[in-house]
Amino acid sequence: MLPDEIKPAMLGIVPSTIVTCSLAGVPNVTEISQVWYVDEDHVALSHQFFNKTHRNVRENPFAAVIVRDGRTFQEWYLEIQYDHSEESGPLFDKMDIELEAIASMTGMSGVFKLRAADVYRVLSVRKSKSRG
Amino acid sequence: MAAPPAEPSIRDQMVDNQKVIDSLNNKLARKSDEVRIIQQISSEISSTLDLDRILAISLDAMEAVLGFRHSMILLASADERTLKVAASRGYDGNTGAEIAVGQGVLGVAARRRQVLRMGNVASQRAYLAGVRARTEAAGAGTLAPVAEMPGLANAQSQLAIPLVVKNRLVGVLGVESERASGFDELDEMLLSIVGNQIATGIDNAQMHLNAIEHSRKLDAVNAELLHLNQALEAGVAARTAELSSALDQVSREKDLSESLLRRMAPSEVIPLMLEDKLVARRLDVTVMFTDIVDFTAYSAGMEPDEVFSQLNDFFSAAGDIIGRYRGYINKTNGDGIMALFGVPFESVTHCTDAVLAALAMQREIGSHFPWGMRVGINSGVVTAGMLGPPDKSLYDVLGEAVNIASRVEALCPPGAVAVAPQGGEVLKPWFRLDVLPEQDVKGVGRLASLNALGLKPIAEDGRRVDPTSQFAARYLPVVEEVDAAKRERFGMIDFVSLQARDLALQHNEAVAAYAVALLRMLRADDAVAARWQAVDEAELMAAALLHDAGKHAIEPARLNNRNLDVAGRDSLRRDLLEGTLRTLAKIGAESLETLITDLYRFEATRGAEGQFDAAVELLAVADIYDALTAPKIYKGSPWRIVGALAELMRLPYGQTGRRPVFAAFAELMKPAGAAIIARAKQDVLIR
Repeated sequence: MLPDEIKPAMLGIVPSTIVTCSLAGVPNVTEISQVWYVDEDHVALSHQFFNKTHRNVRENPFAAVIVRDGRTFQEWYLEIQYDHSEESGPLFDKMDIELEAIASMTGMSGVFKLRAADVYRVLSVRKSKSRG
Repeated sequence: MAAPPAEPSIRDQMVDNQKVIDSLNNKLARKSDEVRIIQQISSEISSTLDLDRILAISLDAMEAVLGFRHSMILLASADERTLKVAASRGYDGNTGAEIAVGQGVLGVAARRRQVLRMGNVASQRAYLAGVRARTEAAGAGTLAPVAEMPGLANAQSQLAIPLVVKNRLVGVLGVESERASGFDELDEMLLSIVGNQIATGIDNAQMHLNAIEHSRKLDAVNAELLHLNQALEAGVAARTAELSSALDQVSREKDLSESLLRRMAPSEVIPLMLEDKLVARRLDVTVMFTDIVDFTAYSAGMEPDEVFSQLNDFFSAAGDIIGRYRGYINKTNGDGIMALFGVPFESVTHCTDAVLAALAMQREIGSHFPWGMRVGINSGVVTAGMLGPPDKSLYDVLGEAVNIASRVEALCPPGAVAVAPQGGEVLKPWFRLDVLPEQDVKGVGRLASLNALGLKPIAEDGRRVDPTSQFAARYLPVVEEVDAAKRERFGMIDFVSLQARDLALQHNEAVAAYAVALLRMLRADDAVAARWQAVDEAELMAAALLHDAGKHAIEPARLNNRNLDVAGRDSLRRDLLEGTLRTLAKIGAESLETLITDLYRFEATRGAEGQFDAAVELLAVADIYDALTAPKIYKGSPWRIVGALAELMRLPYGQTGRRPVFAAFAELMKPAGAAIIARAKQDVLIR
């Protein structure tokens, strides 16, 4: 489902935006550092804190994200559904090591720690009309 | 969602295909370039063990070959906790910067030993910096300081290759770029391979360096050890030399003090003297004075050192002789000597010792010095002890006997040995004595001293040899043969001083003469000739002369002890034999060992132990006979000849029939006309 074209937008160069909604219907918009490309049908988000996004998708697995290509600022709209969490394995390791590399530079090694790689199934993908 | 693709035209398809083919060709070209590059880098790296060169080759290849403008190699510390920039390209003054393992992209790649390729470093950092700012604003605890990272301040892409060899973290290779996603999978793969080569090269170089360093350290340690060893050896040598010199000093001082002490007193009493326990005591001694005739006139024209040299030679020779007869030079006075015999302990032979020493000295002076010497000898009771002021006291004797000896000396004709008259009784059995003209002696009155001419020859000693015996009639030349043999074969042994120890004067000569004479007599007798032909006469004579040569090692007091019990006599005999065998070995007369050992066995077992060699029997009978008949003072009266011969046959080993040699000996020695019949152990008829 995800085209190769979208990959540059998933490199974590420009923050992404995620919209979740609690079971009670209260929406939450927040910026996240990266949406990871897993395969054509899946993306992953890092789970570091028990924040609102995390709580909402556990209640209501449906979310929407906007990812942006750092070079072109082309936006992509994705509808995703929480599928499962991985606490080990290649995906987890890749996310973990990169997170550690950055956290260790910013003096936040202990704080910024990957708890799990939350894997979402891509329900739809749409390129924005405008750039930026 | 994407629309379903429309059916492409053939032309489009061909174009697309061409694109795919071009792209594949490109990839292929790049691949083969990469293989070539890798091969080139690795061959260059593996061609050297120089670490700086390896770093340079590696980083130069990063830019020139791979096109990475910013690259660095950090080397891990030995504990793998820190990484230090060892070389870099594309920076200003980066070298030497240090990060912790686990810090940043390079640090994490190193810690996890995992290639790490990131294309969003700056963005992610900025994002996290924001999070950090919010976290800090929220006051959520203290955060670690932001790390200072080497390299580009705003690197967006970093590719970190851990350099690991055999699980050891060597370092990390990093390339970076300000562009986002600056490195792709192919870069990662390529650098991973090159990284392996670099790691191996660095590892080899470091091992080489370590080896060099190790060897340098070893050399240093060795040098230090060598130095220490040398220092130690030098120290030990110096200390040894010091100790040895101290020991020498002590030994010299000991020798010096002993020699000084020996000037004060006989060495036997020095221990007592040092403990201040030497008390004055009365002793029966013999005092000897000597004086060189007209030495003053003789030395008048001589240089003083010549005078001293000659006199010292004389004193040295005299001291040697006096010492051999257990005398002690008490003092010298000009060219005169005062010597004491029988000090510091009682001696039973002091008088004969003094006379024998005097005779020896006269012989020696006569043959070595161009002057005459007077000797005066007197025996008597004196008081002996330390005499003189405390700092100059000497072992000395006091008494009238001393004065008389001095007077006797003054009256002695040059070359003679004058003995005060009362010595006559003691000396008569052994010495030929003359009476000197009676003279006035100050404080004594008129005195007729004796002149000791020398030892009495055996043949002249009626107690040993009866003038009417066959021995006296036929075998006296044997005595001269014995003297000749003694001089020629055993000139190194001073028989007289040896015999003087227990007053067995001329004992060896007598035994030799009797044994040889007996052998010759037996050989002349046809009936038993066969047994005696086997005896070697020269060996027999030698054995007789040397049979108690071990005497010099035994204290005279023990030799002369008349109260020895059986065990004491056995042990004395054993020691005597042992000493004798040692002497035989020393003078190369081992061939006599068996004969002499058998003689001792014969005497110890009274001849009871089986058969003995003919020579042993000859020696035994001669030895026992002389022991019985030789003159004695302190051993009681000697046996008269006839009595001694009878006793010989009465003793178990002399029983008639068992040992015909004893009867034959009686025939040899008995006075003419005497019959000696020994019928049984207790029944000897003497007429």
